[in-house]
Amino acid sequence: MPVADASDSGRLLSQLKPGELAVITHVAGEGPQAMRIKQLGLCQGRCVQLLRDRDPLILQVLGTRLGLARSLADSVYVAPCEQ
Amino acid sequence: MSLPLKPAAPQAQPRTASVALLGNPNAGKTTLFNALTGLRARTANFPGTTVEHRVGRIELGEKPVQLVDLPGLYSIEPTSPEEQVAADVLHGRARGQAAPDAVVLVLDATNLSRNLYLASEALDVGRPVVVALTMADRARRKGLNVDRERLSRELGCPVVPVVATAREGIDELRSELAGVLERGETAAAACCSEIRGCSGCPYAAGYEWAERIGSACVRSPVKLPRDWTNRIDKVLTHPIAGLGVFTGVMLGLFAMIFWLAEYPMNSIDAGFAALGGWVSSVLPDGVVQSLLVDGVIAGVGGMLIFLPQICILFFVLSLLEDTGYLARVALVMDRLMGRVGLPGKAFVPLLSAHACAVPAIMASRVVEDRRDRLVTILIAPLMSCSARVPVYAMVAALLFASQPIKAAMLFMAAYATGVIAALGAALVLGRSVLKGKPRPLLIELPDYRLPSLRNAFTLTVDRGRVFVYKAGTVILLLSVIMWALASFPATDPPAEAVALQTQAASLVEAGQAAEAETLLTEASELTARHALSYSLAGRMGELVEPVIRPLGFDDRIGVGLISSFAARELVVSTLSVLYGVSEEGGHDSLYASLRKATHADGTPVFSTAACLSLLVFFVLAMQCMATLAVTRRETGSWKWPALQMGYMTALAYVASLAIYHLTLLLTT
Repeated sequence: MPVADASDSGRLLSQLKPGELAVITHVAGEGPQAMRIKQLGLCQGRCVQLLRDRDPLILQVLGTRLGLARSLADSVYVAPCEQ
Repeated sequence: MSLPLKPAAPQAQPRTASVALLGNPNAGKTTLFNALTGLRARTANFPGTTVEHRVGRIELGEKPVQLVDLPGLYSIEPTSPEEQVAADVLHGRARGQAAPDAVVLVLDATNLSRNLYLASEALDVGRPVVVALTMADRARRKGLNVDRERLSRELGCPVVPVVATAREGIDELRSELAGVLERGETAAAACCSEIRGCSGCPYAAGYEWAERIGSACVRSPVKLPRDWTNRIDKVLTHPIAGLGVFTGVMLGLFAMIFWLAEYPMNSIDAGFAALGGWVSSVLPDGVVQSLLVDGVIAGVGGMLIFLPQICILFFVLSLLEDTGYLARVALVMDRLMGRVGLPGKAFVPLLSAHACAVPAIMASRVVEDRRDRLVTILIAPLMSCSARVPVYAMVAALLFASQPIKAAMLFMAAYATGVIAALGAALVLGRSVLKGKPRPLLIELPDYRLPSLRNAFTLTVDRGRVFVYKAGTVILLLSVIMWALASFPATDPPAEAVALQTQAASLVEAGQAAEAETLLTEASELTARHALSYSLAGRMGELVEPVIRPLGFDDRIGVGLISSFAARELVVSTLSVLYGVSEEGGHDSLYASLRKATHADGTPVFSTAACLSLLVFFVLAMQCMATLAVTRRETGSWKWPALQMGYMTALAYVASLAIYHLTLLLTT
């Protein structure tokens, strides 16, 4: 059960600053929306860069840009990028 | 009748082999499909669904092969009807559709890591696979070097780089496909089932693999070329500049379907009128002539008149989609549309509905989620379409004959009423029949690129064909029914008309041809009015009169409302027949005689209150059988057009009733 949300690894994707890089730690939820997010590559281990922080967000992952409603981004948890 | 689920049997099969085309959206799948099949493709629904796909036959050697274009998707784990259908087809579970004998996996060379995720799932299905590595030219320009042998080794299947727009690599792809079909061997990727088997997130494992293979097979340049897309996006998604460009593009699109389409529409109108005139002149007067001219020819013309708008809309939409701009429109409009429970993608169809609801409803396919799409389709006809303009013009002329500013304000109020009613209806539908929230935005913003004219042309032909064959037949049938309602039962000309004709005949003998002509015109007007009142439509007008009297309408307006169901603008010509104006007299004489028309008690029929009531009724009522036919076609059931008709008529009735009595209160 992914519940350790408020810990240091529990920053939300929607809290990143424009230009900031991060690694996705997990995606909360099991429903079809969580599935859609993961299907587009926003899943554990992928590196993302936030390009625009206004709703809808724009981010770069796997070499492409995605437009993403903030409500979806709120279920994606990230950690700082090591590289 | 399901066929065996096992991988393709090794022995030669008597039936036509089928090949499925699978790939991400924006991976160049449509372009490749068009390059492989040319224009020899048709559009069909997957059995039992409203999900469309294109099917084409290609010749591989002597063997004909059926090529099925699956919906573009990121994963075959179904989260939408499209993905469900694609998964069913691939696994051979789809009704009436055998499992494909081979799969052409379309991978975008410029975006390999992301595309390889779908590959990891597709290879798991265990069908023979050939990879088409599209956009090979763009990859070269970006300095990306894809190691084709390595990729082929990793995936365990042939890999062919193609540039579909230039037909580069197409022949090689065909021969590899023929070879794979011949051998029937499944792709032998050493990847996927094993990595997925262990615990943990299957997506993470799949993308892990995809990124590893992607980076192993692609050599990127040390110095990246300029990223034009990000620069353009800075402008196009900018809060102010982006809005400016957006307004410009949308105005351009709207202008094209509104004004540009008018020229071919007028030609179609004139052409069918001429054809009708010619047929009337060759055939003797009677039921057959009337059926052909007023039923069939008018019906076909009334259906084909929609084609210019449909074609222009889809041509422009295809170009915009190909450039990548439509994805940005969805992004920019998402929050605003979200307030009334619609996704950003519904914006373009709803804007188009201001020209005509028919192409707009067809364009609602861009909205992926079924609930969102149904809401969009249901509210689209509330937008004021171009067929309402003649009615608005009539009411404006009746109320504000020589006050252009007030007339213009009336027009604006009518358009605004439509928009507000549509947004309100979206809110109500989202809380009742179609409960739910719009699907949150998640959209790939592809690189900007030049659009393909060939794709736009193919899509245009395809949409036009679907409309004519699938919706057009229903529209034609309904037109003939409407004709029958207005023509039967037939009646003899009234005594006054006969008397006028005799009088005219004697005038001709006396050499007064001009006077005779006037009398004859009057006689034919009388006859037409008498015939229409006597017909079923006329009687229906009388029948609905008690229902519409509270709105300030008399039985003649009732006939107008019924006949306007064939096409809204017909109410104007019906009223001119019923209130006795010759067509030659033009609009001014129509408005003059409408103003003079009175009820039995001497009060005017077209009072201010009745005019406003008529206007509101036409803004809100569902009086368009073409729209109903298209809604039926796009939703796959009569339930939705019935709901559309029901709620819009109820809304129109209540609103007209309110405005009528409110105006009466204020003006007396």
